[in-house]
Amino acid sequence: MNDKTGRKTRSTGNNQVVREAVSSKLKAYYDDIARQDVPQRFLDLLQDLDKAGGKSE
Amino acid sequence: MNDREFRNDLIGFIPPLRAFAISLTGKVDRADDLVQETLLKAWANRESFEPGTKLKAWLFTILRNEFYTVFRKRKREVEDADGIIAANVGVHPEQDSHMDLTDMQMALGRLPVDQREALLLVSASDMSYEEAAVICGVAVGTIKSRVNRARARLAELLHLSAASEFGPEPEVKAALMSKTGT
Repeated sequence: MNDKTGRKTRSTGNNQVVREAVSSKLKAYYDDIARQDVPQRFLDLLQDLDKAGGKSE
Repeated sequence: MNDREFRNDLIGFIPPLRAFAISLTGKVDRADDLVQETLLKAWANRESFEPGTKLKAWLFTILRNEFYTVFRKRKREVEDADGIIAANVGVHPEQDSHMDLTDMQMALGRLPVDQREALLLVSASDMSYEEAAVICGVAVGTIKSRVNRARARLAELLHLSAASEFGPEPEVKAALMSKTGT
């Protein structure tokens, strides 16, 4: 949209604003995934391993 | 640490491992295969884990190594997938619901993988630059520059970078307000 002003300008105050906006969007996206329930297959897997005492071959 | 404790600790780290794997691969099924492989390897090598060192960093290292093992094997396939993701950037989310990818996931998919992993470790997984450097087997300075480049590119891809002259766009404002408002 703004071919000149959209250029990367390093170490300006606004870059800090953009950096923080990127980080907080990323964190929100990431935390959404991390809040999902642990899939049952992993709980079952670990339970089987624990029961077998590691001798699961 | 006995097996029961170790198992419970592993369960606690499944959510962050999944978040890392899903963000890294862009695919839930592939990510869950990585997580499963990581849990199996961690369990098989639990004797070699030194209590007192960080289990999270150890697990992330295993997952990352597993990712690259598979990644090299599937490199062609991954590149094809990246092409599909790239072709869909700019399409409204509701129009490509079959992709089941958010804007963020698509943007991450367009980052070079070394930048993507550095950004995910430092900015999303709460790893220090030093921990990320150990996990990735590179210098701290390399991690810093990868994170900076990844952030700048992500800002462009998410159309956040045009904010510099005209003040923050609504999305930027919202992001900032949610940060300061809590």
